[in-house]
Amino acid sequence: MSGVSLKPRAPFEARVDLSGLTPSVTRPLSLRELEHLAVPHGGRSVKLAELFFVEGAPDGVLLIEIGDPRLDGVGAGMSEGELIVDGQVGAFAGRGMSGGFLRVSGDAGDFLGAEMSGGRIELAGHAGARAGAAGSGSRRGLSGGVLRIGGNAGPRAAERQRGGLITIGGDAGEGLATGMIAGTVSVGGAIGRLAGRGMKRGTIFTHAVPELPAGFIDTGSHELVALRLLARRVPELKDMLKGWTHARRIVGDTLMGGQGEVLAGV
Amino acid sequence: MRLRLKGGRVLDPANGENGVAAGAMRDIEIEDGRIVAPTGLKADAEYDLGGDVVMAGGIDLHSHIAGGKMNLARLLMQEDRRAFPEMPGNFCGCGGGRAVPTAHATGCRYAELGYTTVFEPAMLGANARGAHLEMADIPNLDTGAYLVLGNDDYFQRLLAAGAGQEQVNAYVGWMIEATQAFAIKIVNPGGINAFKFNARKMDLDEANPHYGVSPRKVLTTLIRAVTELGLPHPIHLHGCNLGVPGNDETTLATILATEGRRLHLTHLQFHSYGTEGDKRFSSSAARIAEMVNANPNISVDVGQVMFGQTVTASADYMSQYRNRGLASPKKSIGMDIELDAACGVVPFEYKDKSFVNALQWAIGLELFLLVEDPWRIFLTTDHPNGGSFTTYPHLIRLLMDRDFRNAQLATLNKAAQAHTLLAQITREYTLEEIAILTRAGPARILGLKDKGHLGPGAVADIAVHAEDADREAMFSAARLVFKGGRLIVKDGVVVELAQGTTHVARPDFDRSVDTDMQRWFDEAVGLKAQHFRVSDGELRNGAGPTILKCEGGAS
Repeated sequence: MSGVSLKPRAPFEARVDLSGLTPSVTRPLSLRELEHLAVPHGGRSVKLAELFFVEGAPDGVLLIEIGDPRLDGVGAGMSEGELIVDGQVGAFAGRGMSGGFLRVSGDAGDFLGAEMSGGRIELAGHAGARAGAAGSGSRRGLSGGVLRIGGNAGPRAAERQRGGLITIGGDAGEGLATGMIAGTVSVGGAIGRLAGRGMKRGTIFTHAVPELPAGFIDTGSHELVALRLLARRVPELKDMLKGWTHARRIVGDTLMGGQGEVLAGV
Repeated sequence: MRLRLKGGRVLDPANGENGVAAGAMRDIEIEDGRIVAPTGLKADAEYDLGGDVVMAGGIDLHSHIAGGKMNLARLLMQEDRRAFPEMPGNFCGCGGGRAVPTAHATGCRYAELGYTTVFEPAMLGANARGAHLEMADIPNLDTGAYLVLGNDDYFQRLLAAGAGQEQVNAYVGWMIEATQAFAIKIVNPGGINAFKFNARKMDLDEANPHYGVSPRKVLTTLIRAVTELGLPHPIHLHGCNLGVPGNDETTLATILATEGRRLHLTHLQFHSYGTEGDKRFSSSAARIAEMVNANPNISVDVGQVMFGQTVTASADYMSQYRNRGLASPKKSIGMDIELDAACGVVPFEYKDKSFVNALQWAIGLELFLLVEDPWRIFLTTDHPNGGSFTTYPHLIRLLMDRDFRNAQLATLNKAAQAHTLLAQITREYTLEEIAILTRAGPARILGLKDKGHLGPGAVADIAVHAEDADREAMFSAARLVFKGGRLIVKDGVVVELAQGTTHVARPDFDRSVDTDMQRWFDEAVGLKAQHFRVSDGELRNGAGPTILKCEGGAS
């Protein structure tokens, strides 16, 4: 196996912040240097090797063999390489990512892919609140790259999204794409209340028309040729748009100019 | 516990000592948290100062560090904490910020500059309990708060009904005691109340649209109340028409309205604007400074504007409403606070290329340099309204170094340069004058007898700075800071967190007002008067306040 694998020595006693541990940081290190890398653990800073068995040779690939919901910031700030987690991750996974590939087989906490600008995240399980959203102190959510969530997404996914693509296989919680500025979200399952509230531009794809805030206007059903082109050009949307001949187009939020749209397949 | 600070050059203007000018070094001895006359006894710890400058701990008499509006500002400006996070290891590892720092960061940043006492200048009665809890959470600083009065409906009703001065005095005394305040602040006298009745501007002699009471009446009544109650600090006034070009006339009229009684004009820079020139915005600093110089009953602090991102937070929603369109980032908060006053939070970035901002900067410095008596002018940025207190070292250098000041001026907006006389002013502050502005002066105007000096009996709040020709570097990081005799800062880094105290003033007043207050709270406020009152045990985690007994007053 290539790359470095990390295996927790024991269940974590406190939250661990792994936001400094990205392939571009670990690549130039020797295994020994990597073992001595300082990692915040609760209120203290500890060596990586105190928390994990560290094996392999540092290159562009990192593997966390057993994930844990107490591991925060996994892949945060990643710009290249690959990070694979077998299991769960905590909050802020992939936050501010600009490149590379983060793959998680379990669930993720809040702020998954928040403010990411590039790269790709694939989550097999459910995501917490504010996936692909803006973090505290920021006015822009996900602005580029692809965030794929296999399961459900918590409240306020894609809040203030600025670009890029988010796909949610299951249901989306309340306040999906609140204040969305641009970009695309697709939701395979149901959508919670207040979706698209205050959205300026951007597109929400869904199979069934959700309950929308008062500022949305139903413009009826259309045959949108562009969707067939889109399905061909964007492989992530291919399954979602399969078989769509027409789409109900609901525009909004008119309070914010009304250039956003919710497209429900027919 | 006895400490000895050996071989410092003592700068203690309150006691007429200037070891820097005289080149004289001496020891300072501390016993159980207070400075004592040198004894020669063996000390438990000694610090060799090697000729560094020793001053009393800094006192900031006007800096918004606690209370409702600061919490709203923190809520609004998460960017601030994101830009300046508190790093793990600094006892805390959470929060942070510069414009609106969290409680922990406030205490630490102030201590690193050599400050040990800071007064919150605008506490609303309804927010008093929260403000006191917040101040207890600020490490390393002694605090106190000025109660905002003058816009509350109870007071306006009193005046409208033609109540006598005794009734007003009793009300003011009751409120000070109930809210554990140190002094009385007036914010836009009556203007905030008038705003709620749709007035959008209010000058000194305009009548409140509902109560018919003029700001002059509010001001003179409260000045008399404070005088007759014997409060140590005069009325702390944020005048009418803040930030409005042409408010210089109002400011001059306000000074005349005092008729020789003491008055503190706060953030005077924002009240010194003329309407001359093609842009209808000009400096009236010279006129105002002349008036201040001629009236020894007036003291001022400047509220200097410093360039960069900050947040303006004020009870004066009349002015914040005017300025909300200038918010940067584009968001603001405006609200009523339990009918006591109001609250406006508008984030703002002062830009050196902006004509108005550059001229505001120059007006502040003109005031500093043209007001002659250093005992009546104080160094403030009205944190965070003009800039964060963390810019104080830079401001000190601007005052002490004319070449540096003129070099900075030359980089500003060209039109603003043409509108200011700053380049012609040759005055440079001396180190002693800076010590007066930041220590001895505030202690005197606040009536704190055991602070702001280094004589025997003074609280051992001491700042040691290594002399440096670059005054900004010198004041950015204190070499040593002692709080009540405990070492809290070493080489510009906080090494210990000390719990400060909260100063409150206790005037005597006619207690028969209590019945009336209870009735008012039952009728209009929605909670019992006894629940509104903040008890001593609620302050400083049960330690209670440091009480300053007022002389005079009716009993």
